[in-house]
Amino acid sequence: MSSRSMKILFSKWIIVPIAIAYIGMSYLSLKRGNSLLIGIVLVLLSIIPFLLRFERRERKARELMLIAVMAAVATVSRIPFATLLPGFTPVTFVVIVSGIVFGAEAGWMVGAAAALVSNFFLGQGPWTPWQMFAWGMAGYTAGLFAHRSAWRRRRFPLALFGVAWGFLFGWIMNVQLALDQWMQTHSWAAVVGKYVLGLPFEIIHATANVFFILVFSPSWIALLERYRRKYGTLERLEMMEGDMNDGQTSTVK
Amino acid sequence: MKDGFGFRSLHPIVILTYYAGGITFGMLLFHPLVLLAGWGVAVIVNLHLDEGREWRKWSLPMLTGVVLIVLMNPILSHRGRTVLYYLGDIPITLESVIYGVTLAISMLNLLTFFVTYRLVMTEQKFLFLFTRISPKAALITMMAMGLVPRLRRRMQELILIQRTRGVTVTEGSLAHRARSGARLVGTLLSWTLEDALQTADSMQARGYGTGARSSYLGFRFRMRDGLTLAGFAGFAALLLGAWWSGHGFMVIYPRLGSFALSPGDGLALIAYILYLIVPLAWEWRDRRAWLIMNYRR
Repeated sequence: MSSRSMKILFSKWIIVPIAIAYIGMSYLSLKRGNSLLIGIVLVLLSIIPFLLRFERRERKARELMLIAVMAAVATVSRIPFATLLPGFTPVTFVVIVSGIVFGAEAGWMVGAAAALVSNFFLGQGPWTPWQMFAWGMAGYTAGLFAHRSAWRRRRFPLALFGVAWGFLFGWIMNVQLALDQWMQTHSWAAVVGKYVLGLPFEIIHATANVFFILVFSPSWIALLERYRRKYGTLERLEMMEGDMNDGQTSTVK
Repeated sequence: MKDGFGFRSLHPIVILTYYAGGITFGMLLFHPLVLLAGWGVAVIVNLHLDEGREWRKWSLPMLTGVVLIVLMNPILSHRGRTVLYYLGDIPITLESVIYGVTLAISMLNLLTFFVTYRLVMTEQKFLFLFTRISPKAALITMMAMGLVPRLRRRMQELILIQRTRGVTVTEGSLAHRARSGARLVGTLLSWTLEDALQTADSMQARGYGTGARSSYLGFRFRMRDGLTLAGFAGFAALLLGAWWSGHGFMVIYPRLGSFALSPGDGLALIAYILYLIVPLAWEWRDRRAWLIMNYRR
């Protein structure tokens, strides 16, 4: 195969026919009572717009490095907490703080990369795209939440935000299993049963978020803000966003 | 390590096709016998690639997950005609048990299959593939992956040192332990940020962002890649054809069907096994060539 035809093969547009084929297959699969594929296909498709948004803008090596460090720290931060309660991890906290300081797009990237990378060490599976989606959205909404509002960066509004994501994360992760229960039984009782069963984990997760946000968010936000100002990373983006006024990222005061 | 040998020597796009197809078929098929056969092949692939070392490392968590699915499903789902017994007043049905077992095998199959991914798809190959589609996200992912082992070592060091001043995650009340843990992570963050930005500056100095990223390793699309892709396409067409006409999955609800494989199911099974085993042909061929070249046998 010549290098030219390879380039055409590799070009982004090949995703479109593949996506259509997969939607068709997963629909047929759903009709036959198997919901595994459709969930994963839809979640992966939902990742594409965020990825395109992230790629659209030129970024400096420092910005990419900063995001990679946050994702790696989120991954590693699971280690000291492995001996505590299961589900009591600071990953969501790290992702939310990144979103607040570095903006919505960077927050999404930190969340998605943290999910993907940590699963390389903890085990990949059908849950990986769902975690990428859930943590990515946590980072993205954190950026939007704290956008241009110094008040919302304070402990208590952030703690409420953390509670919300403690539950939302678990509920997003349950969608696949609940969908499977629905396909099996067509009864709402089984779906609700699934969600009730997961409730203790969500409560632990929300508690962890509140704890980390209340105790550590001011110092972490100050630390990251200082690095951002010191090295001028993700700053140019802020100015552009400020000019365009489209409300995607948080601003420096 | 042995990147020029057997399965690993194939072109990244061929490897990506293999994993994309294998995962898709693993999710499309829903028949315990077919999935069990797929799992068997995945284990064989694991054994060929690194004598199953990586697979054994994952086997305990995988087994736990499987047992959980098998136990949970009958408790949540009560559909099905054949009631085995009553747990309190919860009916446990045969159909629900079988569905749970099939789902568990399906998970086991997917996870075992994916264990080999990290052995075959090296960072170089991943970057080669995805820098064309999503250069920044691919680079971030790979940089983060490279950082994790280093941060882990640092974290161990920090845990050791901070224990001397009473910051520990293994002793004390829960609040104290959680507080110590987050303090450790905070220290790790400020330590890492400092030299990460230095790395970024040296990337900048070496010309990051001045043009499209080139790949250090030039992956050529060779004859064996073309042949393998053709094999994948053929078996995938067979498998999808069988699946399209309604084979490769078992009727469980409302009443359990037969476990026996119909001819169509058999076709799906054979196509699935052949699809999964194609790359091993190169493994066998290269081993044979190595023996002939070194020992003239």
